[in-house]
Formats: sequence, C-alpha cells, structure tokens
Amino acid sequence: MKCKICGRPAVIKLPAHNIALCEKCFEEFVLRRVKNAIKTYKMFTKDDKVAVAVSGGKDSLALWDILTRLGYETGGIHIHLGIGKYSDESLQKAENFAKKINSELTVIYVRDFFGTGIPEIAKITKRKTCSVCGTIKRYLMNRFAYEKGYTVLATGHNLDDEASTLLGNLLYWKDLYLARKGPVLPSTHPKLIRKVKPLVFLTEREIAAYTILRGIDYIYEECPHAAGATSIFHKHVLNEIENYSPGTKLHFLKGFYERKNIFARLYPEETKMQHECKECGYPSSGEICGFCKLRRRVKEKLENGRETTTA
Amino acid sequence: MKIHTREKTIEERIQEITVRDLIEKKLKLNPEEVLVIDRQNNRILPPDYRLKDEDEIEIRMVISGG
Repeated sequence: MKCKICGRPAVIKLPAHNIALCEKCFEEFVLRRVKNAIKTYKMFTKDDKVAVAVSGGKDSLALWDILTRLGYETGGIHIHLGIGKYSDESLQKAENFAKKINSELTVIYVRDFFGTGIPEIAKITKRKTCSVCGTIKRYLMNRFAYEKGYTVLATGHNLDDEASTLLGNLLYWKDLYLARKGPVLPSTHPKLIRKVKPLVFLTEREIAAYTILRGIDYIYEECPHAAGATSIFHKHVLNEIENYSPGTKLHFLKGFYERKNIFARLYPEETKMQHECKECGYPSSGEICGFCKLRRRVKEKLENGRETTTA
Repeated sequence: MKIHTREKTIEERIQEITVRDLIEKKLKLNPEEVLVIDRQNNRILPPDYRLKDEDEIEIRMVISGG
C-alpha cells in the first residue's frame, strides 16, 4: 500500500477520503483538517489566547499539540475530578505533556470546591455521575479560562463524539440540545468564554493514529464511570454504518451543521444568559447557577454527615 | 504471535495473516475502531502488512466514552 500523495509506504488507510497515507503525509493531513475546521467555522484567529481543556486523554493532548504546531498561543486547563487512580494518572499525563511542549498548565481540583470528588458528589445529589461531572467541568473550565485571560476555550470533541451525540439527540428528538449543538458555542455574556471544537473533522481513529505517530503519551484507561455509556453504543452503531459506507459520519455531522438553524430557530432566547449568579458572579439562567446549587447541596450533606458522626 | 490488548495479553500460533484479516476475520473487530501497532518499534501497521508468528503486536482500541 503506497501513500497517495508521495508514493512512500503508507501506514494508514482512510476509506472516508479514499486515500492511504505515509506517516509524514498523514500528519500534514491532520493539521490541514484542523486548520480547515478553524477556518470554516471561524473559531479563532492568531490574536486569540486559546485555553485547551486537557483531560490527559488522546483527543485533548492531540489538540494541544496540533494548535501549538499551527502557531496559536495556547495554555492548558486540567480538572482533577477526584476519581481515584484514574484522575491521578490523567493529571500526570497532562503535566508531562505540558512540560514536553513547555506550555502553562492550570490545574483545578474538584475537591477544593466540594470537599470531595465526583463519585461522592453524584452519590450525595443522587444524580448520574456523567451529568454531575459535565456540569462541574463546564463551569470550572469557563471560569478559569476567563480568570486566566484566555479569549477562547478549545475542547477535544472529535467527529465520533459529535456524530454520536447528534444521533442520540435525534433518536429522542431533543430539540433543545439540537438547538445548542455546534462546532462553536458563542459567548453570550462577557464572562462566558466562546467554546470551540477544532477536531470535529477528525475521527477517533485518526486522532489515535496521530498521537502514536507523534509519541504522545495519553491515558489509555477508560474513565471507570464511562462503562456501558449510551454514547459508546451509538459510536459502535455509527461505525458499523461507516464501515459499510465510508464517509457517512462526516456527511451526517456536516449536514447537521448546515441545517442547525432549523432547531436554533425554535429557541431564540435559549442561549442568552440573563443573570449573574448571586453567589459566584458567573453567568446563570436563574438567580443561583447550577454549580453553586450543587455546591450548597453537597456542603449541607457533608456537614450534616459530620455532625451525625461527631454526635 | 503475542497480542496485547487493553485488558490482556494472549499468545497464539498463527499462519501468516494480513492485518486486515486479523482484525476483521479472526478477531471480528470493526477496522474503524482499532489500530494495530508493532510493539517492537511502536509503529502503526497498515492493513496489507503480513503478520508473522514471531511478531508482537498491540490492538489499540480507539473508541472512548464520556
């Protein structure tokens, strides 16, 4: 198998693009795809200071590497979730990579805000672990990106992530989520940082291949709470279709982006954050933001627990 | 041939087989969800590469949740 561009031995076949590429041409392909997504959806420019949400996994580390290579001013933000060994190892990978590329990494510990980690918070609030984790991560990422002076927050969501959530939202006709979904989430409040997804044109397989070729050491272990997630099932379903008909995932997602206004029109006021939270001062749809409400509940429970134990 | 996966390492005697056939026919995996890596030099192996019994490879799953 020969590289379609230069004729050297190919290392990867990309059926969706009907090409096989060698290591060098594949790296260039990846950089081009990201450049193209940034340009197509007007994500940011060289004047922006880009915060990269770094989990320590393949997507976020690849994203940080790519944006640095493309010449953007970047820094990482990592949230230590308090999920035992998994969180400690994730932090280690993020720190090692930051050192390797000589870039700044801001580390935030969930326990500094809640007195405990994600699994305990989910138990106390009787909410699903992934839902609690999402609320906390979104809040902390935005707040620290803002406080650190970044102008845009980039996440490692890839084509498979986006296509699988799109499929899930369509299957259950979640209009509101469909209205909000996109490669760019604009800032609707001065303290709400614009969020972008520069990896939307790359599959998980392409990103994993990139990290291997670049020698990026990422956390391969799966989050212990992700096992059995519906999103993984949706990814398998889409990959079955992709294997039968290459290019479908990309066509599906791009087609949605072209038509997303159909759903956005249903909720014209939805994306506007009208208030500032009375407790933390960050944007909120009500008087108290979801993060602070969660903090109150956990604090009360933990304090009650302590009183019961000491009584 | 030694095959490493996330969960375990297995050793199996094999006749020469291409990476494509190993993934799709023998292991019944979706090629969109895995990469095959040569453990000796940490390089990705293309689908037409012919694996031999003395090879040591890793089947890297690329799908993650959350």
